[in-house]
Order: sequence, then structure tokens, then C-alpha cells
Amino acid sequence: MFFFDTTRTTRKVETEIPETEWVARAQRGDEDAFVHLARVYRPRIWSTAARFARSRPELEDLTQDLFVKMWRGLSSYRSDAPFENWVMTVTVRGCYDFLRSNRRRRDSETLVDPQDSRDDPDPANERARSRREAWETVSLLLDRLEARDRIIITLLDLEERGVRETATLTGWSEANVKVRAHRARKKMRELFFELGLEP
Amino acid sequence: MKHKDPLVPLFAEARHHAPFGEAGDFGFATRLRAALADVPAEPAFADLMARFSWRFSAAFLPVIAGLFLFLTIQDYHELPEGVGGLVSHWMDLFPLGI
Repeated sequence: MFFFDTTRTTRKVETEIPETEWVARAQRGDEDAFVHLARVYRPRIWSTAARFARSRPELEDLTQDLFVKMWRGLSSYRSDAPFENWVMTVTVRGCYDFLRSNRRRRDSETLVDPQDSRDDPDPANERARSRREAWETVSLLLDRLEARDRIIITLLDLEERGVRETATLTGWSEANVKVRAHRARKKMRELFFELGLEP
Repeated sequence: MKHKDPLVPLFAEARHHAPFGEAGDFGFATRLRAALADVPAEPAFADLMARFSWRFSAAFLPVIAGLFLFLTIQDYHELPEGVGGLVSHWMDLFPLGI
């Protein structure tokens, strides 16, 4: 009798508010509005940041740091461009800073993916296993690249973003992105054969 | 015959793998709020001024002294003669008769 389910009503109200309004509220210092935006963009940020972390706890920390960066820099966002572009720019540049600052430590660490289950006898998981192994190989090669090259290859070849978009997200020129991508792929190819990774 | 690039199928497979799985929602908002609470608030301009005011006051002492000297030298001919004259001149400015 005294129980009232307000969840449905609240969700309806939240979806009716346009994103620009949430952003404006967050810019005025409304923490609830920012948490709402963080929930919306978290899957996208998570999937990009996952390409650079070595373990799930590290990924959690990196994602959290990116949100804190966004909260601090929210006043720099201008509403003439989509909010998503700004979010992804902060994410990519934050990941680049993360790679640069953790370069030395990362050399001595190995990838710890909790989904790792090599002994899984289920043939239905064969496809997933093949994808994971491909990711591990790519990750091994990417680890040997400079932070800048790694970011470019991740955005172009793993996230399938265009050269112009990659240049915008990183803040580097399109020519620089193209040249670096070419050199990085060449280096990856050499490493691929050097390490005897061909099947 | 065109050389086959080994990276192409590797990237094609790898891009479908989501490392570390999906982002869990449990406790996300709480952790984020805790992290945001630790972020120091941006100091306002007035706060910054207040923080440095004592330094400004020390820095302004020689400026004020210089200004006083400059005005004194400039209005030298309009000032009364001698220290006694100077004091009596300033006494006139007091609202109470001494």
C-alpha cells in the first residue's frame, strides 16, 4: 500500500530531456546531470579505452580518470559541435596521455583478460576464441609501437575511423596521421614475421 | 601476384573482440560521485585575489612610497615652509580643533 514504483516515471522524464539540456546543466555544475551523461557515454568510452588497458582494474581506473578529466574540462565544450565529438576527443587524448605516462611500466606487464579460457572445449566458442587470439596478437604488436603510432592504428584499423576523424580526435594533421599509419603498419608487419606469428 | 598483407585478417578478427567484456553498471555512479567529490573546486577570481592580497600589499609598499615622494616633489613649492608649518597645515585638515 505504501510502496510506489517511481522508476518508470523518472526514466520517462529523463528521456524527454534533450542532451543539450543535460550538458548545459552539467556545465552549470549539476553533478546528477553529469552522471547521467557519463552513463550514456560510458560504453563508447569503455570500448575505446579497453584497447589500451592491460587489465580490467586498470581499465576501470582509466575510464574513471577520463570522466574526471571531462568534468574538469566541461567548461571548454562549445555547443557548436556535437557533445559526442568532444567526449571522444577527451577520451582519445586521455588514452594517449595514459599510454605515454605508463610506457615504462607496461613493458614489464602482460595482458590479463578475464575472458581468457583457452581450455574451453565448447566448439560454439571457437569464433570468440579466434577473435580473442587475433586481439592478443595485435596487442602484442601494438605494445612495441610508440604511443602516437598505437593510437593511430587503434583508431584507423581497429575502430575503423577515417583519417580526417582520427586527425580531429588526436589534434594532429591528416598528413601526419597518414604517414605515421603507413610507417606503423610497416613496422607491425616486420614484427609479425620477426616474432614468427604467421599461422 | 600481389603480396597478401597478414595484418588485414588480423585486424578484421581483432576488432570484433571486446577486451575485458562489457562495462558493468554496478556501483558506477557511486564511484564516479566519489571521484568527483575529490576534484578541487575551481577557485573564483575573487578567491585568487584574496589568496594573494597580502603579497600584493607588500609589493605595493614601495609603489605607494614612490608615489608619495613623486607627489611631494611635484608640489614642493605649494607646501608650507619647515616641519612645524607642515604639521599645522595637516592639522587644519582634522575635523576637530586641537
